[in-house]
Amino acid sequence: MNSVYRSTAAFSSGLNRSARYTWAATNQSYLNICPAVKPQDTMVQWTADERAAIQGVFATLDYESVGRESLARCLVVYPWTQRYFGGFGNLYNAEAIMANPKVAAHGTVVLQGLEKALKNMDDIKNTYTTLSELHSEKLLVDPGNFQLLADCLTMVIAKRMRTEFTPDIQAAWQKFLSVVISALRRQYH
Amino acid sequence: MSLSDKDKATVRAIWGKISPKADEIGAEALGRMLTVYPQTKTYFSHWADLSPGSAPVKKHGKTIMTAVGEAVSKIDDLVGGLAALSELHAFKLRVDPANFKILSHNVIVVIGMLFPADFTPDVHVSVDKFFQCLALALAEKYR
Repeated sequence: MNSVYRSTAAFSSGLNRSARYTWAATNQSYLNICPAVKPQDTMVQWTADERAAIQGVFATLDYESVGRESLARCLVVYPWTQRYFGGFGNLYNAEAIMANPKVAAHGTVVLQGLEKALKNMDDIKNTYTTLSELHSEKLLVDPGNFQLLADCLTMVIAKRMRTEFTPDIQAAWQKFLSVVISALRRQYH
Repeated sequence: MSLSDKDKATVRAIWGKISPKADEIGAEALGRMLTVYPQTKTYFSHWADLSPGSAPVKKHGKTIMTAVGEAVSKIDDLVGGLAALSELHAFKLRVDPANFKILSHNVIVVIGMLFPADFTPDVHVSVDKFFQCLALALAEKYR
């Protein structure tokens, strides 16, 4: 059983995308052992509740305020992320970071970028091609940092929405962010 | 990333503020973890009800936060102070240590929700560091 699993896993990951789907379609019995590829996983599936939850969260967001606080927290809590903001001036302590106008401006830019994903929820992958190239080739951002900013953003939203940010809404929101992160990671080679 | 004296003082201070609601924080954080990261449910197949607010979730949330409180009191020697808990997690529970970070994230989200004014960025970083050190101490006996 183990050797079948290992060989199917190696086989499926070594093929290109369309070959994998053909393989999966003709080898349904292997899919329970190696569920890495299913034909229906070509795009993210959103339930109606998830869409409503994510749109609901966005409706509460003051981009400037939430953007500023999220980015500032990221720079304070994970200080190594400051490496990408050398031109931002005073980042010496939490107060300076929270008050820094360039941090505020960039926080807004980040939220506006997320809005693009919201408006194209069924094709975030392609919507973010240019942004992904920007982050990987020009800005040279380690993609691990995307999760750090995402976590700070989630926490700031929880702070603002309080108990309205229910576990189910948090689940939908974090799914949205993980799709965004995955799209941002795509053009890293 | 070890805890400075300032971190320890910050953690003790915020714990003083949030400990009256510790049980609520624990239950809420655990419920969120099980909902937002469904893979964590695999450790609780022996519970009848895994939904947020259920009896086993509330009870276990309280257990967890009691241990966090103990860790705060032993903040000067987390590895030594949490040795027994580490053995429990390593040999009996065998929880993948990657999940410690997941639970920490949810506890932080809930603290932010319930104490928005107190959970400033400076407090946030000290608490995040504390949970990281706690997780490391918990993973000490794994291998």
